[in-house]
Amino acid sequence: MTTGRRLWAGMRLLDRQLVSNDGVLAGCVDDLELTASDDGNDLYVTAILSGPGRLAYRVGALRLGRWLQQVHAAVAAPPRPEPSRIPFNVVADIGSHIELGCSNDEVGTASLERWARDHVVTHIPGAGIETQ
Amino acid sequence: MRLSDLLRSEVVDTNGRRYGTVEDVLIVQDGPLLLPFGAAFRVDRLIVGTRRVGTRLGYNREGIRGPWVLRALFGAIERRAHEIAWDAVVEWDGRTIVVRADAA
Repeated sequence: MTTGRRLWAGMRLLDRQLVSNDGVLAGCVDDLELTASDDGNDLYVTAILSGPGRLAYRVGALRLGRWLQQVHAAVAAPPRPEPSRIPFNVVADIGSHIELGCSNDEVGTASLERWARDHVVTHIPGAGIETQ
Repeated sequence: MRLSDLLRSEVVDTNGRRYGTVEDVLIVQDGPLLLPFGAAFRVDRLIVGTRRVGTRLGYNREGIRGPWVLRALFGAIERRAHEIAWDAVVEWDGRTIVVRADAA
């Protein structure tokens, strides 16, 4: 990964597709976590935030967003406090999409969908979906 | 803190002049190492304006090329947008960014 790259974060990162290293679509960039430096003078991008709660927060539904994040964390398997947070150091490349250097199972962004598939959709008669 | 908090923040200077809201954020990859990714992205500059549609199209960003007709049209719409260096930020409470009076 090169250094010194300059990007407009809103235009080049937000809403971009995330792709895990096993080629699976792993959500979208719904928001970015910014962390202040120790002296408080600088802000650094430290994580990608992805998931329905993050998107709701971004579009202004702050309370709904926090609630969805809590639901997301509760159903994530294995349980993790922030399944929709992807540390920026696992990013492998930034282009027309964001490539991650980890597998889809290591990314918690799809936890809510997996939970709904395993606990709701597969129990609907005639669903015909095999769990992985 | 989140990028979305920054993007909905209003920008005023220390004299009380209002510049509008943050439309986009330029990040530069020159921060501390985040291995194995590389250097972290640092917030370098803000685009601040009052004409959301124009600035969202991106014709005022450096390196963005396009048909001259569109550049001229949206350049005119965006001429009120300001680029403000993050170094000029005096305070950010999550909703309002206060910048130095000579920032823009």
